[in-house]
Amino acid sequence: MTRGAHGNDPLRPYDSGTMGWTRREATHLLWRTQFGASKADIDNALAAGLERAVERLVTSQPESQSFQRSDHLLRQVAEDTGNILDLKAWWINRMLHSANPLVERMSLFWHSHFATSDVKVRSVRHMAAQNDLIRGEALGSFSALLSGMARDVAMLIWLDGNANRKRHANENFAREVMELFALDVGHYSERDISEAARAFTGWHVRNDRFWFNRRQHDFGQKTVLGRTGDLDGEDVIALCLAQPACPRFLARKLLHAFVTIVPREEDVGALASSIRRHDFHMAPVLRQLLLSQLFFSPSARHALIKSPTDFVLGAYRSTKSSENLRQTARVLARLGQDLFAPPTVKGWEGGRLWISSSSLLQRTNFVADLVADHVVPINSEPKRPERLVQYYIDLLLSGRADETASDRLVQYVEEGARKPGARTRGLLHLIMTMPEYQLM
Amino acid sequence: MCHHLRNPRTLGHLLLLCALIPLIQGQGARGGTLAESLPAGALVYGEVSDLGKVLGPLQKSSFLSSLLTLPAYQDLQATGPYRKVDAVRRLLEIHLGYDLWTAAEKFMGGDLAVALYPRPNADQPDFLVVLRVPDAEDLAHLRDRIDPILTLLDQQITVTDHGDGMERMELGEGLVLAIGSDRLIVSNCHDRINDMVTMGVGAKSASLAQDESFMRMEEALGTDHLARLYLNTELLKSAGDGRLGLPEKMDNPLGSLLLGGILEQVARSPYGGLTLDMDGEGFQLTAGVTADAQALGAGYACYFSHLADTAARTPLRPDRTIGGISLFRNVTDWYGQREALLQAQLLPGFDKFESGLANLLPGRDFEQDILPTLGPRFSFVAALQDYSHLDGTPGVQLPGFALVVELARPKEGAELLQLFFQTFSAVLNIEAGKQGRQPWILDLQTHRGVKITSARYLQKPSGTRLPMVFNFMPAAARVGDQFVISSSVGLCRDLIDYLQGATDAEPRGTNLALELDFAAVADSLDLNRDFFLARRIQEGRTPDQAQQDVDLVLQVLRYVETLSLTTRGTDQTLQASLKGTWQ
Repeated sequence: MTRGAHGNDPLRPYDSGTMGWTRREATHLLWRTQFGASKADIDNALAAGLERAVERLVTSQPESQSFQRSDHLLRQVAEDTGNILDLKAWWINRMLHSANPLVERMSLFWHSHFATSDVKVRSVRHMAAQNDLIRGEALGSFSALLSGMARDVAMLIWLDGNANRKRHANENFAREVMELFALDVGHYSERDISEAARAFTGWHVRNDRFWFNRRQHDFGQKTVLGRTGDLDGEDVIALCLAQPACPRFLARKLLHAFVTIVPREEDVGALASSIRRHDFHMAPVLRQLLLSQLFFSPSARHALIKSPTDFVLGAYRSTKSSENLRQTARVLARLGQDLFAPPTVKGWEGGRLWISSSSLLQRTNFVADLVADHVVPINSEPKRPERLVQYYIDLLLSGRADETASDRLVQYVEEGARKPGARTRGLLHLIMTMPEYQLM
Repeated sequence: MCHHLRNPRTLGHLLLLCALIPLIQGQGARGGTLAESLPAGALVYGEVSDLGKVLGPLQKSSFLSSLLTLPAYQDLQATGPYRKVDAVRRLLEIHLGYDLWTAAEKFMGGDLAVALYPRPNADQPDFLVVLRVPDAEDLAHLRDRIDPILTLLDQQITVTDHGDGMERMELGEGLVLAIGSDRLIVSNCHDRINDMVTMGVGAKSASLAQDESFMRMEEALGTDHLARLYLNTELLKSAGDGRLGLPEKMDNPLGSLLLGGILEQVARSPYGGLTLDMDGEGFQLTAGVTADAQALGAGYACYFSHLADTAARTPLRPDRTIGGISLFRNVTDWYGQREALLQAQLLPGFDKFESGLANLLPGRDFEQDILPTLGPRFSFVAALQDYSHLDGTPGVQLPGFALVVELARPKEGAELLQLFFQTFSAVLNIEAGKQGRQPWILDLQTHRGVKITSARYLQKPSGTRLPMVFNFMPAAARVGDQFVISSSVGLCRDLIDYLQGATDAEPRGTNLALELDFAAVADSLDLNRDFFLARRIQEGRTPDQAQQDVDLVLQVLRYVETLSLTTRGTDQTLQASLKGTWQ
């Protein structure tokens, strides 16, 4: 489509032919859609072109045999030991090595959205099953995902499903469906919540499975979001999805995750329309967003603060370091993103909250450990100081470093350690602790 | 007489050397140990004899050849450091005229000794390294082969002849190499070599073998070993702060229970000795000191079975045993003497422990009421499980564990332990409920006339990869004057079978006996292969690399058969012996 056909639509396609498809655009796309980008990732995306690169992200790619084997073993050992740290390791391995990184990224997005914590659930198998449910619909249907969540065992334990009985309706799940999962504050009343809670009564867990407890379900008349009848949980979910607030709520969160921490209302509206048009199917919505002018606009570049997973896994991927998965899970927890244990029912709010004096120090310590113990210098890296610095500025900062910083780095390389390994480690340490590296 | 090597050796020089050879060979000749030809007063002395007989079979062993085919070894061969070492090896082999295995067999077929001597007013000791070869011609051959090197390095190496039959080469930085007809000596001190040589020509200086503490070590540990190590602890103490760096009291209660009394005996012994023997079937490593347990004081009697004229029992071997450890420890005395045996900062922990225990055994005093019901012999055993308590197996198959306590007052002790077991199970049940797991019910069954109290689930767990928690279904039983607490009812039954049969006792004075069956260890690892593969992948290995790692460990484990450790005391000595057998 031409620009003229879309007018000022923020989701109009980015014209890579005119506006450019360089390493910077490729790096921007990959950092937002996977966890960091290696030089090879960037080269491949560049060679493929924008459309094919995005298509590869939003469609299912075959996994390698090696990945399938490690994935199977890591998942199996997590379920065998019942240790949540092993499940974290399994997921980190997927984030790092899956051929479908956007699925993992969206799984993390939905994990934060539906924020269920093992601290209360205390079952690796239930947390893993919820993660499977999320992954299955990560790029699929939000309505199917929301419906599945209402019956998910971990969610029912997390939000006290078994306490939701016809004579004593527990509002926890109904409240979160409206406030945190589908509508946001201001788009429902307290009465909607209490009535919706009645609709979910009897949605219980028995023998580790979802169980519709008819004896505890309230089959009476309820009025939710303006509709009256013998409503059950599915009806409430359908009513929520039908509200105009629902796609706007999701659109705002998607823009917050993929574009900017301060989305404009017109951008929210445009993406909400796309969500509604695609009937809450995420793959076409994300395809449109990732190919849009909005996604590549100057205000969207380097506009997000890296989450701990972006920061840590991105560092691994960029430097091709070998990683200890369980240790990585502990590092993420220290940095404020403990997988399978979001801090509140709101999940990780992210944005500026990722950075504090304490977490910044933790990030610096992580980089110090990484470059000291794990980084393997790349054989093909340039030898001349200017080129070496530019190589890593391009790789790690998407080329974004002012002249002064660049000169100081060159000076460091020229005056620093003579051994190439020590020189590269020192340089990486400096770049990865720059303020610019905290952004993507 | 000093000269550079470039100067031709005179016939007279050679004749003199020939004349002195018998004198040099006279002291410490074949059949005697090198300690007889080394000066007295060594701080440390180590000796290896006839290592060649071990190296030969090792070179031909299937174990070594299979190690060399491992992918990990292939990877190692591609590394820079390996290539450098290999290049040096090839250079040496070309120069020597035979490969390093042959060289090792030729030169290590005799004796090699290293001794350290105190050097007054210096931090570093003097050292003497002596190599005695079985065939003097081999040394002569080596001497000929290094001649060109010495010629090339004539500015750096000075050769002197003191007329004593030892050709000496100053290698720089005070290092001296002396070559006799059948031996080669390296030292950082001329005088030490002189002392050694003058011993050989009839001087009256004493040899190391005549040192009082050395003779006591030989008396206790014998002389005929593949290798041995001697420490003169009195000299080491006077060289240090007088305490060998050993703490006066233990800082770890478990360490104190397992190893208490040993360090204290080492600190008081005039020597420390270590011997190693090896053949095609296994090895034995023995460490020994002189010991007088009674001299340590009454507080230490709890560690030594010979004072009670008894011994730890032989490690238990029920079906599918992986390993076991048996201990003699008079825990009542140990607990009562804790202030004398342990560092003061640990003592509040005991008070806390007693307070916590009071909740499980209300109205009882741990020291006065509980411990005296226990006897001094304990056994701990680990065995592969049969999972008869499940319809299926857990995904991670842990061994079953059991503690067998000998009871001094069987009826009273068994009831107290039974009460403890039931209360503890109830506490675990509450915790299981909190975590949404199935709780246990306590069941009573009889096996060969013995009542077993065991935990079981209302519904028998079934499935092919059950959660790890299903490895545990604890059981307790009293078998005569012994009480069994086991992590699984199957192991409890096996132990009842075993304990009702004849069980062996270790020789008098045995304080600790440990046995490990490596085939069972390997079986356990193999059963959990996926678990270990996953662990390696979690550590950053690829699936293929993880597979290689696990295969290597399994291969090594399968090569070893058993490992056992015993510590044993008498009125004069305390010895620890580690034995291993292999295929």
